[in-house]
Amino acid sequence: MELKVFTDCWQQLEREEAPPIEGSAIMQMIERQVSGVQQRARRRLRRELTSYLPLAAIGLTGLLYEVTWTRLASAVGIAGLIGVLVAVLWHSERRIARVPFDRSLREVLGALVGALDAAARAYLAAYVSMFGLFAAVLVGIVGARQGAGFWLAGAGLLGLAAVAWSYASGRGYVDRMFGRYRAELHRCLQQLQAEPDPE
Amino acid sequence: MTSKSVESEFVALVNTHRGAVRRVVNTYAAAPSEREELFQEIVYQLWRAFPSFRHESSALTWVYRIAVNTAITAVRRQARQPEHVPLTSDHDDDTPTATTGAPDPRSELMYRAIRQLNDVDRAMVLCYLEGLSYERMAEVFGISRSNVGVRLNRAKARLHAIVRELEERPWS
Repeated sequence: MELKVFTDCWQQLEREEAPPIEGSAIMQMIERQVSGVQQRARRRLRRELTSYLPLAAIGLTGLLYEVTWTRLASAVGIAGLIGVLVAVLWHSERRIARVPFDRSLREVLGALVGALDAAARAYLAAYVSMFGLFAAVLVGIVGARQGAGFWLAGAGLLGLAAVAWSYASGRGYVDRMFGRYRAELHRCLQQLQAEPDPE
Repeated sequence: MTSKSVESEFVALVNTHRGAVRRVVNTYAAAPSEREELFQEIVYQLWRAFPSFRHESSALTWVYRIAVNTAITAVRRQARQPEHVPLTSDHDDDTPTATTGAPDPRSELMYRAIRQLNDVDRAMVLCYLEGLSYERMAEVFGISRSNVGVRLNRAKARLHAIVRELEERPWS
């Protein structure tokens, strides 16, 4: 079969046009897509919130025994940090979803890869900062109660280990979340950017 | 311009180019459910970009640019959001003609062959079959006209080899 047959076949398909789509059906398609995008974002955020519930529970459990200013501040602090993390994720998702598609393929792929990288960086920074802050608070409390010594050194080491662990697990998480999609887009971009040898 | 007139202008644009969009969809998605999903996604992206449509480039080029960008990135994104796909006959590969839904052997072979090309070559061949000039294709891809020429020739050569192979071993 020669490629000429393909062009003939294509022209045949062009002639066999499907009947026009009604305006209301087109607008319904758009509404469905909009709600699909919102649903997916909500589902992702719910999943994210669920994974931080145990952390929030730690702060709340303390309040069940006795309400003190310190415990209240801890619970609010934990909830606030989780909120920041989820907000970062939400903002990143929106940024990815808002990449304009009316540019050239090269620009769109570049913009999407950039948005995914920015999302991964922002999430990782927020995640590690959260653990860093926890570690700092822990060291501060131990230092204030026990003074300099064995316990303070132990708390410091524990804090450092927690930050290191959060970096490793955060990297794993963003790789799982954005890595495959980014790699696929990057591969497409490379296909497009590779200089073809003139024949 | 009122929102009603914007809507009717958009509906007219979609209907004018629905065939071209369908052909992009059929090239990037094999299963009927995937095709429907991709078609809707392209319509949504067209709607999103519609306010910035300046009529500077031809409407077909604009529609094609968005359709190709959406097809390539949407297929990739599905890898990011694995969802349950029922194992029904609905998922089988069948390539329709535009009107009847009955597979035509020539168009079936054509779509099968084109789907074996990589994403960029596939889009190049699509634009070529749709009759876009090198200049328009350069706009769609964001590369130079000479680059389009070289790439398109290579993509056609690959396609030719795939077709030969499919004709020799149709079950592969």
